[in-house]
Amino acid sequence: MRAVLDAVAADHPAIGRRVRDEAGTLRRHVNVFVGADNARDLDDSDTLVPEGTEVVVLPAVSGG
Amino acid sequence: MDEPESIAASTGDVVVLLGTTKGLFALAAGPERDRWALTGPWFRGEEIYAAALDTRRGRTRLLVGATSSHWGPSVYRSDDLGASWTEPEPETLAFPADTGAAVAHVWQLQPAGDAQPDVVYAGVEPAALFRSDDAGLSFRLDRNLWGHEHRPQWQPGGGGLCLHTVVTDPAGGPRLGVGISAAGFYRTLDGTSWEAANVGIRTPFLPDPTPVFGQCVHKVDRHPAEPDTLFLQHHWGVYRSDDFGGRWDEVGADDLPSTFGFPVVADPNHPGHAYVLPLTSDLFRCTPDGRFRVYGTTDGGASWRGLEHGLPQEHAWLSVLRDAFAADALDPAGLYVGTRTGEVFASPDAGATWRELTRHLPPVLCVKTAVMP
Repeated sequence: MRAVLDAVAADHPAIGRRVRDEAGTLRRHVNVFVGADNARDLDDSDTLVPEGTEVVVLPAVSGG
Repeated sequence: MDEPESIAASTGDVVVLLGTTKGLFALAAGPERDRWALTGPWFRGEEIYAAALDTRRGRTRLLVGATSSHWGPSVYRSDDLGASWTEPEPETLAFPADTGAAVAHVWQLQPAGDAQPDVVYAGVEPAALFRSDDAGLSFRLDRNLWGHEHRPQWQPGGGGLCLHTVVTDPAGGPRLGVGISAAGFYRTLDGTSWEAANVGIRTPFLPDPTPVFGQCVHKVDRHPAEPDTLFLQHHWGVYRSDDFGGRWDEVGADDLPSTFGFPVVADPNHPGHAYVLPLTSDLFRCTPDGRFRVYGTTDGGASWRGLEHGLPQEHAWLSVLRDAFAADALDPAGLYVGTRTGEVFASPDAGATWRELTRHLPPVLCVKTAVMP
């Protein structure tokens, strides 16, 4: 998943820094889903993204 | 979602920026400061800890430190009084990768004096100082302060480990002071080497009553014509230094209803004049006796008197944060106070009389002023 987010950040820096801080940490109130699974429940940024799997970034219900 | 129009202000008008927990607002009025117009919010839902209207070189640049609880912090700018905002690209303010740190909040955006018309300082959480030499387009970390030997031992105050105050040298020299909660006041005289400068500041909340650092400095301010003389509101105690923090002496203990409070404001016109806003105590952070009173000194802190005409004096259990009190540069100075319950009070005559300008805003985090060039 890290490589996916790196690629997004390279093409769209403004999106990249909203999803992760400059130290590379996923922001607290942002969830990244690999398929139907929240990456926090898997291996976080090390979660394996199988070929063809959709990665979805969503704001959490907390915050705001 | 409709964004607000720009701030309606022209030459000579006074602009008061109000950073709140839910966005940025602005008040504007003519130099008489009697009819105010409220605009906002911009950055809806974001916490605005820092804001500035930079009027040096005739520019009218808004700089805003906004934090989205979802998408993190950033510094935004507008050169048309809020009609449009520039997204920083590339990242305006961030820790270098080798530090392993990440900005949590931008606590302060402080343009330097006219002698350095393109310099802007930024204080952030975790406590660090950044400097911009291009009027806020880009910032770089002060690695000398970041590398200070005390830093691993700095402890956060209730608001986090933040660098919330930057005291610049109005002459454009290298001298600089910063307030860090709860590490204390640090200064550099040569622009490179930093030292803790807290001699004389008592710390009743620590076993050692006079540590080298660890003081909970809430705010520091000074008059540009007397840059050696600093006023400091500490967690307990109001202090004055006449040698840019070399030594501090407590003032106001006999006159103030409490020496606990957050903001301190130096009158921009009259050296030796300053204002504080006492709260009851650290365990009860509301205005004493349910009376909302600003206190002012005109003799360098030797004596203080209440400035409450027009402020609520019954059942007013209000609280004001460290950056939510500011003065404008007109004479007599306009004073502006925002509360944690969303009221904004103003005085057009250096505290002699007050009135409420607005209410029902979100909690006010910062108040900043400028006179339009």
